[in-house]
Amino acid sequence: MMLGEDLSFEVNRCISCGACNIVCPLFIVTGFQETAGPRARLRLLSMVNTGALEFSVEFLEYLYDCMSCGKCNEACPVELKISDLIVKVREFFIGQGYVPPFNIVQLPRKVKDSNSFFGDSQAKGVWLPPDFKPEKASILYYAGCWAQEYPEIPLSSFELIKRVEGNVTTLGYEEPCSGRILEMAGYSDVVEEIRPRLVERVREVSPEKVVSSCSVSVRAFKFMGLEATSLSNFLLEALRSGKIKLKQPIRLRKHKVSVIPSCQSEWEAKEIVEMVEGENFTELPDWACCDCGAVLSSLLDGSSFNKWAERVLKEAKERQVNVLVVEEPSCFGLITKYINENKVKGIKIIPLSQFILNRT
Amino acid sequence: MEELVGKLEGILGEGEVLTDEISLASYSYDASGYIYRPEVVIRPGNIDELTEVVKVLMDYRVPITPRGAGTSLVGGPLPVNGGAVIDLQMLNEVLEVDEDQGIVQVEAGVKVAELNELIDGRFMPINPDGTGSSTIGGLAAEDAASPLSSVYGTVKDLILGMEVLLPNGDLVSLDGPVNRSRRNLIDLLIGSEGTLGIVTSVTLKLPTEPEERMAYEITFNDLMDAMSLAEEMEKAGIRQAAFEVYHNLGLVMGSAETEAVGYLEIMGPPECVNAWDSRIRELSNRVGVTSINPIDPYEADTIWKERAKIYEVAKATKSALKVGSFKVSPSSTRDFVQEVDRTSNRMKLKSISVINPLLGWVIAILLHKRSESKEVERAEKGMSEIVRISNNMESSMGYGLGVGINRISADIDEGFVQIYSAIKRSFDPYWLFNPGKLIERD
Ligand SMILES: Cc1cc2nc3c(=O)[nH]c(=O)nc-3n(C[C@H](O)[C@H](O)[C@H](O)COP(=O)(O)OP(=O)(O)OC[C@H]3O[C@@H](n4cnc5c(N)ncnc54)[C@H](O)[C@@H]3O)c2cc1C
Repeated sequence: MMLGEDLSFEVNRCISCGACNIVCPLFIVTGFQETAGPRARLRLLSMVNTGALEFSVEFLEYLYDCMSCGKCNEACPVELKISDLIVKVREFFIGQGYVPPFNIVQLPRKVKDSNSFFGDSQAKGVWLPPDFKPEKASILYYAGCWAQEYPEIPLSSFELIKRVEGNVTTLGYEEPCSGRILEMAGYSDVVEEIRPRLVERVREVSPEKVVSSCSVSVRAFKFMGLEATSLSNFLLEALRSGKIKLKQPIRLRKHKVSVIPSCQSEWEAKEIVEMVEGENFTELPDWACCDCGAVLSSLLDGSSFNKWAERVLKEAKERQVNVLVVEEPSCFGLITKYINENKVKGIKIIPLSQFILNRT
Repeated sequence: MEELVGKLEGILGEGEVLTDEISLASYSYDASGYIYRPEVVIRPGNIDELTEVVKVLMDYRVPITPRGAGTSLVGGPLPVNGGAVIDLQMLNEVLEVDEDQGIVQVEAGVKVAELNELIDGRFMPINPDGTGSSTIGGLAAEDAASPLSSVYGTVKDLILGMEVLLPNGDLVSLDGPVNRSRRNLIDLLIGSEGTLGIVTSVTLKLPTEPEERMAYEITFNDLMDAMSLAEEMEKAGIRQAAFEVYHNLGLVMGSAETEAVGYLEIMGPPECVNAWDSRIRELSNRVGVTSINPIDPYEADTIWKERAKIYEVAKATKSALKVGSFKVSPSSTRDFVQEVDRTSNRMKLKSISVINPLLGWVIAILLHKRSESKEVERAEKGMSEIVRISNNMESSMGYGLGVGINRISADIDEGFVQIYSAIKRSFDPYWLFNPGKLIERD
């Protein structure tokens, strides 16, 4: 038994019913291809475990080729946390000395060198003045890796938080990675190594609360015992309590708006956009969520993410959506890339923070 | 093989003809625990593609195994002789919806969850695996049953017509007003487990949701009491929407000493349901049940629709399930269940039997740890033993779930095998449609 006793036991608990498949974004967008769903991952793992299927480079890559949305965690009638289990399996194989796909192996070094998986050490604070230094504040805005690619996201987010709470700071050029993407990739040992740096930087500003653009990072701050919330959650509360006031929207007739929330959130983004847009809002299917987890599959050959994006945009067009609000910076980045590369027309995508700021 | 794959790709384009190890492995299992790997997986996007693909495969004399969602508990969609698996889930168009009549026509890959969404106030009462993921094609092929089958029957009772692709490549329609002879043909194809043809579309009538419902949990000291209660209720004219009795449930879950726990649901107009309610309590007293308690109909829903009790057992015991489904005469139900107990004891495995007294339907479940190969072997051996015993007791295998790999042989049922083989040969002379299922080749 290749996987060792504990993991084998968990993997073998799967009763193979397929309940996890019908909630899986990749299973759905591939036209229900069994290979793409969580059931296949568990069943194939159990075959690899007994030697019925060869353990190969392709198999290891396959274990990373998912949207990491976590929907299967909730779907299992025998309460297997499938997505979490697959992360543990990735960790196990790395621990055994197996080497994950190329772009994934690069992650720990990039994060250690540059605080971001882009691997560019000077870029994280580009949206801030060159001489920016973090100060003590009650709210810490955590910008995340993608801030450097799309400065309009941290700028609009920071501005909104400032309007609500005033006393806000951010970690700037030296903002360490929260490590969530490494954790999902199976590098929990590297996370242990880098997290003290994050703890230290956060302590220096001693915030009461962290508001994070990167919704997968919220979990990392909670582990540190800090009160942490996603930007969407923060904005929703601010809208509800009237701390952010919206201009009366101009209701255009041919204007349809939808949203891609983070898979980690509790659908706050949906509520926000519905609140703002009223009748112009329309919903996408439940599986149309995406965040930093999708980055892992995009680091492979990208075909799975592209299939997902193609189908989401198709669903949006079928609903006559011409504005698509995206909660997560990483998802915004990946979709923007897809739209540019494939020259998709007729749909404008906009980050959640900017969508709100434009209406205040 | 290469030439064949080339031709198939010529029809479907690349990407839907799968031959890599990982894809082949992911079409090698269903929910039964058996593993058989196909040589090629084919995923047609519409009925025309399917038809062309089947013609090519027949020319090359390649065994063809149709597959829906792969939730079969008997290895139905597994290619025991190798060859091609055809994944039908992309045939998922809803062709027609008649809201007034409650009649829908859908392609074979449409899933139960989707059927439930088609018409407000109507639903698909046969949701065999409970999650809504199985396909109507799979349901038709297995003539699937559910706990609600006491009132709604099996899938064949909902199906009005269908379209089928035959092994000779002809696509035939059995839709439209039904006369006796057409009905006979429809009934022959339903439950044929993909051995005679591939169902491409189905027309079915969805029933309306009931007006009023009541549900109970009843415990019994003796399984016979449950049988008598069902009989008494029937005599009293009480419509039992579902009555399922779980034998050994308490034992396996480590709780009660009662021999059996039953879940009963009645449904209908409020006047009837209320009158039946007091009658049921009276009858329960007379029969001598240990307890009877009303439960929330929503809880009953999870028991029927989500197969909650079965999943609870799998969860609590962290076990896989080896499942066999049998139709038993009321007088021998008790003996049959005892035989299941004896066999599981001998195999050192825990077992649960789920009994629907009214239908004489018994699902025997052997619990085993999949991580222990010895237990897996004992479970398989135990189930074959139960199949053998069922035959001696004049019960028949395969109500609902289908027969699949367990195959009926001439020494089990000579008449059936003789006639079915003749039919099979006339439909499929080269024996290429789902070989190794339902009957032993004579
Ligand atoms: C927990 C659990 C509980 C279950 N309880 C029940 C139950 O109570 N009652 C019950 O009846 N079943 C039950 N099942 C079994 C299963 O859900 C049913 O047999 C279901 O009908 C299979 O549908 P599918 O789409 O998954 O078909 P598959 O499993 O893919 O295939 C089933 C069979 O149908 C054939 N087939 C599939 N599609 C077609 C087609 N279009 N044309 C021709 N042949 C085709 C296949 O070759 C195979 O032989 C249960 C399963 C699980 C996991």
